[in-house]
Amino acid sequence: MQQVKIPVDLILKNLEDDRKTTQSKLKMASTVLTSPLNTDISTTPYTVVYEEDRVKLKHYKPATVKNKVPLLVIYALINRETMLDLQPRRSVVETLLSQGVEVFMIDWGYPTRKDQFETIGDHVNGYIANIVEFICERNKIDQVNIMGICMGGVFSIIYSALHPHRVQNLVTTVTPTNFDTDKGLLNVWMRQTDAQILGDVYANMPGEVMNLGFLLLNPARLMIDKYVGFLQNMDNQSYVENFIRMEKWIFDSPDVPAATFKQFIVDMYKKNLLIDSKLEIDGERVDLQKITMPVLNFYGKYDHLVPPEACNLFTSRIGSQDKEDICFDTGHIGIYVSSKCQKEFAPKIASWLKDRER
Amino acid sequence: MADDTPHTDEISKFIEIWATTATKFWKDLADTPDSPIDAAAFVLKQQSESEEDDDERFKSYRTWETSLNNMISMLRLMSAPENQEAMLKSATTFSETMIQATGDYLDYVGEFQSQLVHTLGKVSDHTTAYNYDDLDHRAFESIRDLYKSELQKYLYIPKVGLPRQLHEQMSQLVDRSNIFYSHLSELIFLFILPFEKTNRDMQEKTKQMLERGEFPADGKHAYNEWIKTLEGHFMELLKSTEYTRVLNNTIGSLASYKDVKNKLVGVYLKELQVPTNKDMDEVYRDIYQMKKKIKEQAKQIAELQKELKASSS
Repeated sequence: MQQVKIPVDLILKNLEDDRKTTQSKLKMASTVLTSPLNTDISTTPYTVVYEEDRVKLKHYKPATVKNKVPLLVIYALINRETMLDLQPRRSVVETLLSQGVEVFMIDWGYPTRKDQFETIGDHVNGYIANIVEFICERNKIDQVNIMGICMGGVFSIIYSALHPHRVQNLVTTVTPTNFDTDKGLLNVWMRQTDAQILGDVYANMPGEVMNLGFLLLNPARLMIDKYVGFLQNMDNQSYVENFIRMEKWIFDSPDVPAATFKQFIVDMYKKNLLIDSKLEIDGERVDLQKITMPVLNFYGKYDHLVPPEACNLFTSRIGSQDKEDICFDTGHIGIYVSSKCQKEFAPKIASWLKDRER
Repeated sequence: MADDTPHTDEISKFIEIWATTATKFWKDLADTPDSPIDAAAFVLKQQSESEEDDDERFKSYRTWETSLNNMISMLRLMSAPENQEAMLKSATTFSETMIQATGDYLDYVGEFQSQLVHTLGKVSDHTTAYNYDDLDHRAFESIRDLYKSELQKYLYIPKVGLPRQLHEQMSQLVDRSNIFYSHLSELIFLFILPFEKTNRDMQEKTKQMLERGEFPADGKHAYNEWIKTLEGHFMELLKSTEYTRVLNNTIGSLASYKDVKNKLVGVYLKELQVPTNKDMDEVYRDIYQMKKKIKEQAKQIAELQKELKASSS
């Protein structure tokens, strides 16, 4: 082994530079962290126009309504719909409103022990169906446009297959339909473990437990590197505000009703019934061929929760002639919050809907 | 057993002395002025008719007296020459058994310890980078095997008496919690491995750099390299069948532990007249079903009203 000449001078110089930078950063960070920070999320004004049990319907009205048919956004039962309105100038809701799209958004609330028996059917044929009826009656229309997100996308697909006459256009975003893939760790874990029994153990599946599961999908990045990045940027007020907004959203996790959780794990992850049109909801088969309305399907190339393989089969199994798949070079959340996608995602939805307005 | 004779005599004498001293103590106590205890009662004989009234007054004393008499009789019987030999034999056998059992136990512990040391040594020495399917988990399995073969059975000794069911549930809780925590520890142990592998990789990389005559002066670059390697090791771990197996065992044992815990908590809540989760779940189920029925009927009524309105207009 060659004798290494240790560059002591360089090391000492680097140490001194690092010390000075750290000292200056800490001084600035102290000022930033103790100053009033704007970390509010979901700040776009809305009114609650419908309530049923724990579920609320938020209504966002644009300054000028350009689309006659409003868009109903169905979010997942995991985490909250506030992700679509995380911060000003980086808000899907804000962009849709600026394009003249009237938005209704379901807030699923926080299920408690009394909600543990609610099934997927109760959400789709109950809450969603009632909300669509309400919107149709309120706006004096026969159909709505639906945009589903992740698990909410699955609900949207089921609703569209069971009630096709009520849906004019369907937009699915990061929506898993094919669960028979080993690409995502969630798919592997859910198929090879008895995670569904946790539903019985806790009555509802606790949000904290699910969050821990999501963090474990990439512990090095999500539990270490993320906070190292925060420490390195603590002196940057805008960075800190965005970071705290994201933290607020990501750890705001309602529990999932046990019956829905178990049904989702068994019928979707373990049996993969949806993509083969074998899923039954309230005794009725969910036939994807009955989805004949125009469909726009978004997914992320680097999505570690819902990999592209879980999303890209869907449009080939439905009855629609007018259908389009769009894959962004981003992850599960990036599609809604990254500045690049902000310029493409919501404007694309608005223009696609506008083109199909009847 | 000629050698035993002096010992048996000594024991016999000892018992006689102890019995006499005990009797004398109680008699002296009763002889004390103002003592409510009748001194005559200490004569070790059957009770006379005249003492029957005193029995009511000195119930406790009579109970002690009877117990003492029984014990003395028992000791006298045991110290009889024909029984002393058997007793001494039993005592010898018992101590021999204890020595044997202790020896066996120490052997087992020694064997386990050597296996544990060997296994732990193997875990750190022979794990291959980016490979988690052949992990050596014998340390955790050994602990569980030891627990299941040597300790668990004591928790399941049949319980008797009025609180039988409660004791059974308590034992179950201890058992399930032991099993759950052993699986949880194994899961946590798995999460340490990527750090260990990453640090070894980084040491190797540093060594290679030094061999090339380079020196890692940039801390940020080193961190980026470290986190990238760690991420890779975590990905391999989380995809491995070993991880899924341990995760599944942890979930299963958690469910089992929580189930027993809820049942036991339910016992105490019942005592406090507080509804248990199970009670409330039944109520919630009824409410859920009623609400569903009411919503269906409300819809039907609304449709009927619409039809009525349409037909009347």
